[in-house]
Amino acid sequence: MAELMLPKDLEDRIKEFPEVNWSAVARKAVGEKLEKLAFMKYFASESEMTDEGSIRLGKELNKKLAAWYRGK
Amino acid sequence: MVLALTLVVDSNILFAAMIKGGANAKLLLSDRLSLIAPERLFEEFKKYEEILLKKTHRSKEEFEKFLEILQEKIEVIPKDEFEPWLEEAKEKSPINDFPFTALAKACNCAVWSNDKEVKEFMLRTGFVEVLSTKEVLERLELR
Repeated sequence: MAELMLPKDLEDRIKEFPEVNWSAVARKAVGEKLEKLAFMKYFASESEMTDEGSIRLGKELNKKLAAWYRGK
Repeated sequence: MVLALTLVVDSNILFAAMIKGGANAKLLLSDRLSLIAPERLFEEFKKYEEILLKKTHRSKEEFEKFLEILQEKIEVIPKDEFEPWLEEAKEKSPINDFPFTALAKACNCAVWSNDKEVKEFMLRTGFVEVLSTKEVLERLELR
């Protein structure tokens, strides 16, 4: 089983609230993070985006963003 | 090795998060990165929804979830907060990249971008540092 490393001040603050199930809080946070990471992997899993495409679209977007900043 | 970094996210990194098997998406969610972006970035990014749906073969709802995850992680900084740096950034950055470099200067951090032209330009002016995904991974000793 994984152990969480916590800074001393956080440990002290946690001890102030023994009524909270901190393991459950940590499990929930870890679960949510894993769910987001899995979703990002899934989202790109059939993608046709390439390094070159990302640069090209980035340049295109930055041109429009810069125009907004110039007040055009 | 650095434990944590604050970086300005260039728009090409948002698009690169959709590269199959790429490192960008995982890195975007890393708790070792504090990520910021100039005002209006997401409004402009949303305009690419149709193109991105076709490229990723995902639904509108899935795209919205993708966007929501990015917006939770990347803090958008209002223009007012880095406005004093905009004029100098215009002089010392590629023509359309000054909002990102001005924000990086104001926050004393680097820009995260995979655009080699931007990297080379900023190396010449020395206005702010530009780090590629590969360099961010190296700084964090993740590869």
